[in-house]
Amino acid sequence: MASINLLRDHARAEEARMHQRRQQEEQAAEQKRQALVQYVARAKEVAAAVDAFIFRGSPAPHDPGLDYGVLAAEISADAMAAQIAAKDEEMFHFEEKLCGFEETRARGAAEAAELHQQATALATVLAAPMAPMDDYEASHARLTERARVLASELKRTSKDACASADLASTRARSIFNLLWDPADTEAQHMADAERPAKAAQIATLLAMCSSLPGALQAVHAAIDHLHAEAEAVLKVLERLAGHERLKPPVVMPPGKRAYTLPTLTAEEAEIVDEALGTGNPNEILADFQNIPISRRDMATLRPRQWLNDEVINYFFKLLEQREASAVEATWPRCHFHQTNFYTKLAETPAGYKYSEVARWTRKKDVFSKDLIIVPIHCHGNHWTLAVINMKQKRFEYYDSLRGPPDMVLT
Amino acid sequence: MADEESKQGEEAKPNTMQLKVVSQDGTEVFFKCKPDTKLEKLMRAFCQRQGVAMESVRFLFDGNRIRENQTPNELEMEDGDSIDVVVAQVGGTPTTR
Repeated sequence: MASINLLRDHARAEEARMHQRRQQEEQAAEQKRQALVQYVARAKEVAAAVDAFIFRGSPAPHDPGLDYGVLAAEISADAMAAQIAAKDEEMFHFEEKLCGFEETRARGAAEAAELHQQATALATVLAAPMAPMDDYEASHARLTERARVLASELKRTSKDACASADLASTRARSIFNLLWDPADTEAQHMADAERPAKAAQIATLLAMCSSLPGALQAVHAAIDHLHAEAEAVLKVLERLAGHERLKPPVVMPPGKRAYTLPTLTAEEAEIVDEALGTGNPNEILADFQNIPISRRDMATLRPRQWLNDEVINYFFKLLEQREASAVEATWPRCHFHQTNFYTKLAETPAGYKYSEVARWTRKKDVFSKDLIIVPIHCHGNHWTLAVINMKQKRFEYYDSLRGPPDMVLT
Repeated sequence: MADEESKQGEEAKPNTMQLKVVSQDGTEVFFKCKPDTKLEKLMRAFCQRQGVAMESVRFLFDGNRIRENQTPNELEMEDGDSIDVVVAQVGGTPTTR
């Protein structure tokens, strides 16, 4: 009897223990279920975030068959650790690349800033008022305008370069943050499911980042090109303004006198402009000793023009007059021949013919002079000068082209 | 020579004189004129005959430039004197020689 009671008690105790254990097991199961639900909710959040990033806001096609929570539970601890390690490595590479990119971007920005500064300086130079040039006023204005346009284009291009560099940098940073958030390991695990798609995305972004320095280079090349063009324009402007003609003064060795041309006053420069300008070419500007000088004759004094006989004869008349005024007693006494003297003397159809010019000096005593100046029209296209130096008893021949004197002196 | 205007039989006329205009190529043209007539007439006649523009030639007497408004008297010209005609000359540093 006692043993039966004992057995019954034992059975009851066993039953109670079993019940308790079952309750515990049920509780644990419930907890596990709730954890799974949380996992699923979390996974869906992460999936949405990834989708939002990858598809840039557009809703992703949802796969109902994909249960992130179940997938996450299936991943074993070892595999997870390996994947995390792989991700770490990838992150390291990415960070490295990002650093390199940052460096490139900084350099590009610095270069752009420098170019911008140069462009501003150039614009200031170009905008500065130039020497007044009546003839070139129109082209000057046009070129200044062009330079302004170039400068503004330069500014815009460098701004574009900076903006695109910034954009790429921001994108790289955001994807980096999304991938690597050490505080949220759970999100890590969830994101692992999306790994292949994300890896592809990272690759795309990296390709974009690496192509950006190339694009920056292209922009820099364009800026350089614009810069060079602006430089060329500046050069043209300087030449038009006559700055190029200003040369440093000639330093003469001691004991020698330097003959420098006097600087013209504003009124004198005006007279010169008037004479060399665009007036009536037949207008007589000066008439002295029967030699009229028209504006057309005056124009032969312009740079790179051929001199004509009138201006030479006229200048000889001026020298004659200066000598007659005898300001300086040390000046040599000269006789200046006409530019046609030599032509008449030596280039007649019959060759050398003294009789042609025999009367030319009959009213003058050329033998009392120190120098007899004979301008020579050489080959019909060049001026040279023969001088009979009576004082030193010699013939002199001056030719800017260093031609042989035989033709004239023998 | 273009000397058809030289009529030697009329030189007895006291108030006319004969002037010779010589071109650079040696051509000679004779003109009869009065000592007080401006040389413009002679110059124009010569240029017209030779078919050249007045601006392209220069007239010289004894190596001195003479102008349209001068007269033979003023220049102390004598019967039979010659006037030289020369063409304009230009020269510089030729680009091709």
